[in-house]
Amino acid sequence: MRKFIYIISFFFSAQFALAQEVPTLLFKDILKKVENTEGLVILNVWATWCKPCVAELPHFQKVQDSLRSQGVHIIIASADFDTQIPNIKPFLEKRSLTLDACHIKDGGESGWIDLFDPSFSGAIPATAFYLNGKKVLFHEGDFKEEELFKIVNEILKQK
Amino acid sequence: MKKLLLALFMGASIGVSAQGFNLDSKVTDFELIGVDNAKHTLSGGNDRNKGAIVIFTCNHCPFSKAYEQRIIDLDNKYRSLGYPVIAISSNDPAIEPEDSFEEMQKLAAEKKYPFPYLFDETQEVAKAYGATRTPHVFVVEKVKDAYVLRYRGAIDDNAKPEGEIKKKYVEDAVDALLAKKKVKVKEVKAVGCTIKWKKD
Repeated sequence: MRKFIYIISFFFSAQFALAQEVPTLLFKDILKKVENTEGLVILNVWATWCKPCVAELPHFQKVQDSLRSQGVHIIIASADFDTQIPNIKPFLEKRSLTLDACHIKDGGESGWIDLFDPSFSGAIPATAFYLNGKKVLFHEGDFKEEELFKIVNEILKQK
Repeated sequence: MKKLLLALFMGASIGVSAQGFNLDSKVTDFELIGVDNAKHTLSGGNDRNKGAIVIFTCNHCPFSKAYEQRIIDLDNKYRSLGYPVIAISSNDPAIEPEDSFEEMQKLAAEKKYPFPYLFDETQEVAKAYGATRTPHVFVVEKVKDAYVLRYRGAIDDNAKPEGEIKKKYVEDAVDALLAKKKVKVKEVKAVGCTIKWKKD
């Protein structure tokens, strides 16, 4: 019986883990988190439907995996529609992506775009780099893997 | 340091700078092939037109899809008032096959687009206008023989298909122009899919 309960509880906890969703946050709150983090924070805005965004996510994963010890932290913020929120986590898991993910609650509106960067047109992907809370670079468009590594290494040199 | 990084990065990337026309300045007319296999220009429509709602959009982009019906509604509402919709797809089909001319023709037929849907194969029109994403709207007013840019940006303040819309920017702009008033909100940014630029 104990074993049975154990199996059942394991099943439920596994279910619970699967059912977890990425947090949905106002963009200003995401920025607050970024600006209060030491080291190099990379904030990438993407969406599950955005091909170039999804294509570059593995590059971010590689940067995260190889440079975590150097204080690099990557946040991927999804601009997906609300209805897509339950699918974001499975989408990332399927691709073995373990990046810190969230959803932009006000992503369908226009206010957050200038907040991210005044030069940002709204076309995604878009990425900003913050060193000890201060934005040092903003880029609208995707990255090739070597471009991303080059930029990250250059910023780390300035630390 | 920002400069250094930018220089470093610019060298490595194929950046398409989106300059475009300034607000309240003249825009350049274009001639593009439509899904009806006919050539279309900004000025070539009905002589009674007072302007146009030029929308860079495409087949594949979920934001374009989310706005598709709203774009049709805009044309139905404003065509007879002198502001027809002119939809343009500038995406490179080599990158996004769903945006090929044939697929554009299929979608326009299937959804019975009441407006011309044009293919900007060389991407020159998108570059000239400074369009960066889909959908990206440019409301132009006819002033004598020229067209002047009066509004640029989002259609409304909520892309979500079932979202609550509080501000209809394009409608507000066209309504103001029809009433011979100044457009109050001239530019609003919104999220969209990047225009799929040709690789070299």
